[in-house]
Formats: sequence, C-alpha cells, structure tokens
Amino acid sequence: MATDPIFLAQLAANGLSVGMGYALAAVGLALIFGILGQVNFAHGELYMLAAFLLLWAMRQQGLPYGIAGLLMVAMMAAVGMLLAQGIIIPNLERGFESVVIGTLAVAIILQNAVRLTFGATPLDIASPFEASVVALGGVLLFGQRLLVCAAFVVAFAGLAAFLRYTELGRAMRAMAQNREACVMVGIDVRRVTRWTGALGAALVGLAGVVIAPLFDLYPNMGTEVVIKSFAVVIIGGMGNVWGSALAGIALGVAESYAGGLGNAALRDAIAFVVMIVILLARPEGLFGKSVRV
Amino acid sequence: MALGGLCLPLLSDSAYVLHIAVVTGFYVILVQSLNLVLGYCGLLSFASPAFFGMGAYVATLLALRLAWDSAATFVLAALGGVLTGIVIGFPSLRVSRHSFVIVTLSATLLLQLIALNWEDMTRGSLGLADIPAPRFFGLAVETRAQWYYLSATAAAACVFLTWAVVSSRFGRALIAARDNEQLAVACGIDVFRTRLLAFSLSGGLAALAGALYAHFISYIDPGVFGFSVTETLLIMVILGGSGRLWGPVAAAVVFTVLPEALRLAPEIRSLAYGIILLSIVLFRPRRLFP
Amino acid sequence: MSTILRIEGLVKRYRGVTALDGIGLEVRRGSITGLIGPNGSGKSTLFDCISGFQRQDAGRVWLHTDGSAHDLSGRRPVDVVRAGVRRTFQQLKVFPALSVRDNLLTAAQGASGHSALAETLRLPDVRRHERKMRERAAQVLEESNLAAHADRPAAGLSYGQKKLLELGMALMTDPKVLLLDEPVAGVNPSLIEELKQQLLRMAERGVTLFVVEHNLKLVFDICHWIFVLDRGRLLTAGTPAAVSNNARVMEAYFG
Repeated sequence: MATDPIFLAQLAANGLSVGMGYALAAVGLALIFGILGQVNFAHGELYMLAAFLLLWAMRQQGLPYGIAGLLMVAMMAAVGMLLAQGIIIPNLERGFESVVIGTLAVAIILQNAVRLTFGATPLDIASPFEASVVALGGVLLFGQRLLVCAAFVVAFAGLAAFLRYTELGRAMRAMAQNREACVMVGIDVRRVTRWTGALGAALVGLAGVVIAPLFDLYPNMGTEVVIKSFAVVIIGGMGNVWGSALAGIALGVAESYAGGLGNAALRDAIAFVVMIVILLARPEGLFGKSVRV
Repeated sequence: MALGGLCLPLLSDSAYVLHIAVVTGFYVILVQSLNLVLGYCGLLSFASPAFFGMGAYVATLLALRLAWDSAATFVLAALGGVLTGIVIGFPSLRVSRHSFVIVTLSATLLLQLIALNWEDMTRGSLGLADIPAPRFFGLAVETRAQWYYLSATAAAACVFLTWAVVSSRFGRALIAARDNEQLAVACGIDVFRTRLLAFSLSGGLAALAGALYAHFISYIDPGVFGFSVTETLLIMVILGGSGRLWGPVAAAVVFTVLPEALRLAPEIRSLAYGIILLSIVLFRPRRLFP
Repeated sequence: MSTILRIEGLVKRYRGVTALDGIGLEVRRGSITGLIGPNGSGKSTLFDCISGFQRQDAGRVWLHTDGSAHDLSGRRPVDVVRAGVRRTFQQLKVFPALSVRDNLLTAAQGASGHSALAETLRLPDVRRHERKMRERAAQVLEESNLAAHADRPAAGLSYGQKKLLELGMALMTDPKVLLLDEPVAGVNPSLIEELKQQLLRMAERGVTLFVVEHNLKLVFDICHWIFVLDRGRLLTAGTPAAVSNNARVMEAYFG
C-alpha cells in the first residue's frame, strides 16, 4: 500500500494544501521580520483570535461564513496596526527584546482572555465547505482544503502586486533593505510600520479563517501556529516572502509524506530539525551582518 | 527575618504553608538562573524550561533506574544543566541577539519533543511517577519540614553562589559586556567565553531546581519543559530588578506566595502577568533590561 | 627595528564598495603618527582591520615587538589587545553603570588571562593582579584629574572627562601601540589642550600613537609623520610641513 500511486498522490494533495496553509500563516511573520526587523510573538494568538471571533460571529451574530471571514480579516488588520503602533513604534530605537516581551505579553493576555471567555473545551466551526469533496482520479480533494489553496493563491498574488505596484509596497520593500536610508529619503517609517503590522496580522487572520474550520478550536492553538511559522520563516530565509511560500509548501509536503510513510513523531520533528540546522549553519544569524564583534 | 525563616516549620504545622515555602525556594533558584542571563548578560533567554526539565529528568532517571544517593544524582543533574548550557550556548551566543532568543526557545521546544517521543527513556506523555524521596548520604528527606530545610538551604547556596560570581571580577566583565559590548571587546575581554560560562552556570542552577522539583512532586512528564514557567520568571526578574541581586529574590517570594494567598485561578494569574508585562513595556520599558 | 606596526596590501570590500584598496604603510616606534583624509576615505576601516574588529579581504598586519614580528592579521580583538595594541572609538565609549575606577580596572582585566573560576574564587593570583591594577588606576586617575570622581558612575562625567577616562582606560595595560580614533572630536578648545598634553605624555613614556583626526591643527602640531588616505588609497605621506603644503591633500579634503 505504501507505494500505491493513488495513496502517494493523496499525500501530495494533502501536503500541498497543508503547506499552502503554513505559507499563508507564516508570511505575515516574514513581513514583520523582513520589513521591521521585529519578532511578533503574538502571531499565533492573532490566528487563534481570528478563529474564535469567527466562531462567535457565526454562532452569536448569525453571520454567514464568508461575511464573517472577511470581517475577521479586517479586524485582525486593526489589531495588527494597534500592536505596531503601541509596541513596535515606541521601541524602534530600543533593543528588539522589548518588542519580544511586549508581543509575548499580548499573546499571554489573548490566550487567557479567550480561555476565560470560551472555556477550554474544543469547539468547532461549521463552514459551508466542510462537506464538499471533489474526486480527481481517485484522489480526494476536500472543499475546505481547496479554499485554503485558493486563499493562498489570492493572498500571495495580491501581496506581490501590492509590493510591486503600490507606493506603500515600494516603501515597505525599501525599508526591508535599509531603514536608515528610508528616513533620509523621506519615507515615513512610522506609517510603514503601522501598515506592515496591519498587513501581517490580516494575512495570519485570513489563515485562521480558512484553516480553523478543519480542526478543533482551543485557546492553545496559537502556540503550534507560531512555532510552525517560525520554522517556515527561518527555513525560507528571514523576511523573504517568496522563500516563506516555498518553505511552507515544502514543509507541508515533507510532513505529509513523513506522516503517511513514517510515523507521527517523524512528521513533527522535521520542522524543528531543519530549522535548527539552518539556524546553526548560518553564522551571520537571523539578521545577518558581515561584521561580527 | 532569618530567624523567622529558620523557625517556620515550628510556627506553622500546615502542610500547605510549608509546601508553598518549599516551592518558593525552587523559584528563588530559578530566578538566580534567569537573572544571570537576563540581568547580568543582558540577553533574553527562553532556555529556563530546557534546563529545568533537563535537571528534572536526569535526577529522576538516575534515581529510578540506578537508585544512586541523591548527593550524586543532584550533582549530575546540575552538570546536565551546565552541559546543556554549553551545547545551546556555544552556537547561539556567537551570532546575533535575535538568533539567541529564537535558538533558546527552539531548544526548549526540541527537548520537550524529545521527552515526548523517546518513550523508552521517559515513557513519553505518561511521565515518570513514584519518584522516591531524596537520600543524601543515607539521610532521607521525607517530611515537609525536612523538605523546607532542604529547599531553603539549596536556595541560600544558590543565591550565595550567584553573589560570588557577580561581585567578582568575572561579574564585572559580564556587566561591562552587557553595557557596552564593543568596548568590552576592545578592553580584551573574551565576551563570548564569559557569556558562555555565565549561561552554563545558569543552566546548572535551573537544573538543580528541576531535580529538587522532581523529587518533591514525585511525578514529572514532558510538561516540565513547558513555557509557562518562563512568564512567571520574567515577571519575577523584571519586577524584582533585572541585574540586581536581592530584588528578584524578594520578587520570587512575593510572586509565589501572593497568587496562592489570593487563590487565583491559573488563567487569571497568567492574565495578570500578561497585563503587568505589557504595562512595563508600554510605560517603563527601561525596567526590562538594566 | 624602528618600525613597530607594518601594514601590507590591505584590502577591504563591502558589497561593491572598496573601502581599502591595497594600503601599505609603516608606523615608527615611539612616534606620534597621524592618519588623515576626508570622510569615507577608509580610516576607521583601517583601524577596524588592525584591531580585529573587521577581517580584511587581503593583506597583512605586522606588529614588530620583543625582537620578532607578530602577524595580527585576522586575529580576534581579544588577541590583538593581548599582543599590545589597543584602540579607542570614534563614538565615545565608557561603561556608564560602573564607577570611574571600575572602568579603569575592567580595562585592565581582559588582558590578564585569568580564568573565570579563578576570578570567582578570588584566588591569590587574581587578588595580586587586582591590587597592582588598583595602584595603576590611582596613577591614571591623578594624571587625568579624575581622582575626585573615582567612585562615581562614569555616566555622571562630562563629555570631556569621559574622553580623558577613555584615554586612561587604554593606558591601563601599557600598550605598545595605541590607535586613537578622533580623540578630540566634539571637545571644547580648552579641553583639547589638556588632551593634547595627555597624548604627548603618553608618547614620552614610549607608547606609539597612531591617530585618526579631523582636527588638522592638532595633527600638524603633534605628529611626527602623517599618512593621507583618500577613497581607500594612500594619497601621500610625510612630515606635517610637507603634507600641509601638498596641494593634492587640500584638494582631496576641500574638493
């Protein structure tokens, strides 16, 4: 059975959709790393918050999945902008550790607030795509997973266009290259910081909206997301948006095969081991400089 | 105050009070460990659970499998922490501060993953139970009162050791490297080696706390590598005074006793810690690092 | 024999910019040698390469001392200090939280080579070294007029006093060569005179000074020999009189 081509193809299909999900979840972190040089420890909790608020919007407010989803993306963008304004901007000159602790604190607050509000029992989002399945030559493609892939494609295409063709996008790319130079050419660093925060949060919020219906919701779920996202960003090459896309997909596929052909432990270990190897193999470290004292 | 400390088991028969006191001792040790790295090296480390868990598992496995005297197993557990510190510190201290944060975090997560999956050794998520009382040269530590004295002695010893280090010339080099790394290098201080030693020592301290904890609770599982103790330690070190000796000790006592006294649910306690940390970042960011 | 520091063919490139393009020069023992040039000419980069803060792409740095030639090329800053070469920085650096005295003591302990364990245990050897360093520090405090501030945190000193402290720190290990990166930058004229006297005193004691400075008046006043850098290349070298009259130098500086 292990060499049955349909099985292998199924693993590939699952892996691709999982991988695109990883990529979508991770790209927000990559943007903040790359453009602002900061680590956002609340990244996973933004994913979790989007999922829980989506549940609330659908159950309590009776909103349909699509509307609620878009609303959540917008709300996460607002939260992201708030984080950037409140935590990152005041600490632009100070060491980055303040931002680490600040976003960590926000993560702790969000996780516990959600736990207190919703309880720890796993919950479930009923999405209209859950039941639909498409069979392609023996390989099953689940509706929700296809939605994840669609979201990935739309998000990355949109991001590419935004970064290339808009003025704000260009400013972001400039800042990723050289922050001091930006100040000198008159780019408003604070404005770029705010919008990068919003964009990063919106993307991970979108990930939460499309991926969360596939699994149970529980307050801790953000932790796994942030760990995986770190791994993807590091493997993909710090702050490199396309690197994250590739790394995410590759990781998803690798994990799928490891889990399907090997065992669960192997599957869980891959992300870690590759991440640590890469971290140690790059002597310049995450924000590489050639001068090292 | 020291007299009061000595008499505590006589003043209070309550198993509960003594229990809290013993746990306070563990936190005092853990706080020394984090303060060495955060306060005196100026580096944000998420490795505390890695060292704590390493010490817990080493002591437990030696006690369960080999039944050695605890004098030996505790020393080995501490050494395990020191070695872990060297292994983690060696690559991560060479590169940027960003990498250091991420690598220490990854190391903790990796050790947890190993503890979960190396079932032959650790029984995975089932954990290891029935950890016997520690025996130092034949003398067993079983009653609450005995545990209290053990914990207090260990805590005092660790505070003394930390004081000896930070008030020495070596400590001065650490502080210099923290405050102006380039200048310290230009003065001929081997900053990397100095920090590696401090980091390894902090590993040994946290591992000792782990060993004590394992025997006290008599059950451990991969949750000892969990992240939540980091929140508490950050609060204790930062509020107590990063880079000062006695402040964090006092904070360790306050933040162990207070949540118990207020009978806070764990979520409320964590929420409060999050709010406190956020407030410090927003309003008094200079307190974060010395 | 009279050369103490020799640099051969030093090259340093950054992504497309050549900061040092094959620099070769010799610094005479016991001299005060100046290094001048417009901004961006590579002076600080040269100091960084000599002191081990940056690794050059090509070329060698030799220290001639104790009768032999020591290759400093690519050595770590710690080792360069132990070999007897110290430096100061363009941006003033002291340890703000430590007392003035502790600043001086810290400046001396790195080169001593004691192990951390020995230091924590306060072994007799370490204590002896500390005592000796304290005596030295007391001397330096007297000479720099900082004795009154000895136990106050260095953060409380004025800018000029910090500059004096910086110089004092560099002297604590009796270096053979001292690389001074803009020692009088941002200092008011009366203090420049005091700093100048310090530099002359050091030179009298036998310390070789290699000085980067923009204050040309000072450079022409105290230096025996001057190297001029322009865009990573050695433009010319000579006595103050020769250099100050050199039209190309003036052109490089003032366009």
